[in-house]
Amino acid sequence: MREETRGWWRRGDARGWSYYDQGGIAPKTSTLENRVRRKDSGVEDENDSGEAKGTISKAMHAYLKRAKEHQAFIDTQEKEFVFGRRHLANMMGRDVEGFTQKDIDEAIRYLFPSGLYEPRARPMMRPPQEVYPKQKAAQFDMSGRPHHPFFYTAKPNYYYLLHEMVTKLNSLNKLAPSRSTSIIEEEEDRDSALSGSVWITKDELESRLLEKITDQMYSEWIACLERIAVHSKRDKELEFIQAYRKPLAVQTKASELPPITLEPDGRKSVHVSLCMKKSARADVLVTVPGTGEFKINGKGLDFFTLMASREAVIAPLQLSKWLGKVDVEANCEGATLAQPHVPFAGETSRAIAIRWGISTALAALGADVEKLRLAGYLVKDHRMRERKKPGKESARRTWTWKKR
Amino acid sequence: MSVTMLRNFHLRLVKTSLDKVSYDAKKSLPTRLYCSATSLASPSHESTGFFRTSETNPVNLNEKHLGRFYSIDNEIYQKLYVQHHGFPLEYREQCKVFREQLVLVRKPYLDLKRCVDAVDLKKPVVRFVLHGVFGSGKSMTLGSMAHYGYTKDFILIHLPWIPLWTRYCKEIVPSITREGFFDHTINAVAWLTNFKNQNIELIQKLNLLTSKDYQWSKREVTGQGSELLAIVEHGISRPAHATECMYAVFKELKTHSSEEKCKTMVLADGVNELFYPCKWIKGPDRKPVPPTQLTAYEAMKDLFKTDWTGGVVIVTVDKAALHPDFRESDLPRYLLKKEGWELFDPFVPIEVNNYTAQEVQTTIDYYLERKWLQHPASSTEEGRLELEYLSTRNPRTLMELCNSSGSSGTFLHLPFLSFRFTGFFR
Amino acid sequence: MGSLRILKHCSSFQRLLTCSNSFTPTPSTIQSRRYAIFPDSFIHPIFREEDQRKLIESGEAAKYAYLPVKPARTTETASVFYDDLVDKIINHIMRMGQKQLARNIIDKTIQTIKKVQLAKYYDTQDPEERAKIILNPWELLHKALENSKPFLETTPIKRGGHTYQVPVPIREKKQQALAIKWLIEAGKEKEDDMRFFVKFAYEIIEAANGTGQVIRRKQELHKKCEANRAYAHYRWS
Repeated sequence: MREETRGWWRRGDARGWSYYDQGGIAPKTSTLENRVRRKDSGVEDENDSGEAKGTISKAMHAYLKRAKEHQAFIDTQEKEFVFGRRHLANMMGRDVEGFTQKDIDEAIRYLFPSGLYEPRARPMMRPPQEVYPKQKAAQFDMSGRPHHPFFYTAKPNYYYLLHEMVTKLNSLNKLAPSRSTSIIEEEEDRDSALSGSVWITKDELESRLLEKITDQMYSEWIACLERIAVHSKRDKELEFIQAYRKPLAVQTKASELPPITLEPDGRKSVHVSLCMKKSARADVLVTVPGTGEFKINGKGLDFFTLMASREAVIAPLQLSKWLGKVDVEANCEGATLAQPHVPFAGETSRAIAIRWGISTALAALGADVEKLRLAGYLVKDHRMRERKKPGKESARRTWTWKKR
Repeated sequence: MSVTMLRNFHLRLVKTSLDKVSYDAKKSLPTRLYCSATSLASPSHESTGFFRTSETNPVNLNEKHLGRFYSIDNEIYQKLYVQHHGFPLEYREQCKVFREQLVLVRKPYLDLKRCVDAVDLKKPVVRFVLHGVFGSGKSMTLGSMAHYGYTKDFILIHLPWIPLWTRYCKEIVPSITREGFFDHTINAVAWLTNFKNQNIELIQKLNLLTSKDYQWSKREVTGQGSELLAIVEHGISRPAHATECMYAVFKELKTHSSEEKCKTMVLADGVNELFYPCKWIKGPDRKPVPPTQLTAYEAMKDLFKTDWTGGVVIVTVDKAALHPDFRESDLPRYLLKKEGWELFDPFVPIEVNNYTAQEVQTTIDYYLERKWLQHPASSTEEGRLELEYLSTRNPRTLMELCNSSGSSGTFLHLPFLSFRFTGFFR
Repeated sequence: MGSLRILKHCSSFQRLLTCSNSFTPTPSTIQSRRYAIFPDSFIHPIFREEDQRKLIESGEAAKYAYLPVKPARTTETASVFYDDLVDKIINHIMRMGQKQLARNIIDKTIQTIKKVQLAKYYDTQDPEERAKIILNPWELLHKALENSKPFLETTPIKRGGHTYQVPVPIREKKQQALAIKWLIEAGKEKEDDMRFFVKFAYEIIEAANGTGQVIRRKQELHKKCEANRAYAHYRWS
């Protein structure tokens, strides 16, 4: 066992072993020279020092080559990025020093406007570390001996992590041996330290471990984590657990609500624009205090002929008990795709657009935001009609299969 | 007093009495004042509801009874309305369910009554045109005027819903006497039967006789000096001549009214249909018939002219009477078109508005008392408020909402094909 | 890894696995309607005032602060007249996406029920008889559905080359769906000149009384299950 690597797994380090990461604990090439030479399968070692070295395995050779190439590639990309960033700043007439990533994104959006739907397909300029996936460095040394003791599990980082977790669990169990005392019974106490967060997703775990894991492996890992999280002595390992928790943002964000305007007659009003549902567009003005007057495209609530639309429009007012206390003025258009057998198609889309506008305005004016949010009135319904695909009659409907 | 002066006087009357209706929820009375007796008496017993009035004589109804329901006696209702479809179908169905006939006393009705009282019967007939948004209560006002006219010994010429003559016309035949014209058979016979039911006692009491000979065919004659009812009977027994008989009855009544032998009240619903191109009716050769070629329509237009005295003409104009292509506006100028406007001008316009907040609550109270509003939430404050807002205080929409207590999908606020009077309950 | 294997067989561990997979709560009021376009982490909107009040009173509302919500549908309103069951029936009646027509049919059904029941009410003067008549159409609807829900059905199970009709319990949701479906089918078996909503209304009234076609159909199904009682064990073996 090499001195520098003994007991490395006891350090509680869950990251993938990489001699680049370890910084300086690289295997010494001099020891390789003393290894048994492999006459047939060996490859000439291309050492920087130019000395004649012993043969190394093909796999290791490939690894080294790949690693060097990758590093060289990353370096060039890095240089290009820095150079490009400077260029871009000059083009935009901005100061190079203060040119942040946000500015870069804006500039790219301006210079290369894209109509592509998928954000990831649009042009972007990022540091190479963000763009190119991290690769695992050499898994074994020159002689072919793996660095990681769990190498032969094929997913060393994952299994090592599990191993670590079980070790922790055992240590916690030693502190609270009996079954009755080992689990936090009360749900509130269980949730208290970890409320407002969720376990990291499978993708995030994969990117941390640099290994692909299956759904089953992920759920097993979660189950094990939960076992620790529910333990009565979990406070000792809270830091470890928190490392794998992703905090959830509180959903209601006051900063996103539109501002209140003061009218000349002393009333407060909120104007909400860009109220959307399918192709309906509306803008809504809610004024308080009011008399419950509705003015939609110049008409009252009878602009909507369907009771469903009317109910939808007054729903947020009813929920927050502000019906009759505010005035609503709205202009709406769009969503007039009338189908032949349904003469009033599109009306409810306008109603939902106005409903969203009214809800947002009420939230800004001081109504109970949480109530409106839980009722689903503060979320924009971005569902659109699914496009028709080739080979199908409509979006999903396939043509009738005929045997012959 | 000339016609113009009369019209201006009536216009002023009408304008001052009609206040602007505003959607002011604050002004509506608290609902506890409208709480009615919880025990439902059977319809024959008097209910102690605040919204009722015990006055049954429409002559005595005045501002005291505004916003309350008055009851029409069963006999009068059967006589004037049941067979004749004098009131809208949905209202008649409700009366069947509630076992009573209550009508809400509203401002347009009181104004119209006062105007009719003030009319000088020695002068050419005054035309009153009721207009308003769809479902605001024009037909109901017209219908209740029939009761008033009956009480005041007017002879009623009641044409309930004129578009029925073309929309669901069962049979149409080429006219015998007029070339190029078409007669209704079944519709005219039905109308004559109802006319007889409504007015038989009055006509016999007044002993109205025909003023000239009527030659229906080579052998069938109604001689001068015979009873007016003879024409009616002839029309009923001979459908081919029924429309001509109807026309004759109109002319006779005009003559008699001008001679001060009787008073005539003409009530016609949906007159604007007479002036628009009609796409529904087809002649025997399957070609569409324009409304100008219908004898019945000619008769009606003749009736609305001002060439007679001793009577009153009350009509409504409604956009539901027209094909959906012609439904841009609710106002008389658009609905009557040029021909209609020239025929009716000058007239007294009476606007029938939607309910006030109080009237909405009164109606809800009535439905609660009749056990029509069954949902437990409909008697609560929130429920009442919701009904008021969802109906936008429109009487018809409120009625439809209360039929199913919210959860309603008024399919089409305006009937696409105007099947109003045949309705769903055939 | 050996310790992990032991953990798996631990019973308490199993219990924990089944109760909650994570600390995101799954409240009982949430429906299981799935939208393809919103991920599973989005909760279904809680739009009824009573449901929201229950959450606040039970203290669960704090957990919901972190959960994103799906947008509410058009029918998910704060109307005081909203009824889950009526909403469901409207959807069952709906064809070709014509929601307003379906709603109209239900309106007319409710109206007809009211008319029929009020006619019965006004026809008698006896207060005892009157007390027996249910005038509330929604109450009748709920009662009708309760009475028409079958709780057992037969399913074909193949054992030893023979297919047996084995009686099997029906899940709650399927019971409701079957009851609604049968009521609608009974409404469709009408004379040509009768309207669907009239027949439907009569079927509902009869079912609420425990008579009628739908109840008979349910009872026949139960009889069939009773007849095949002997094969019940085939469900497991």
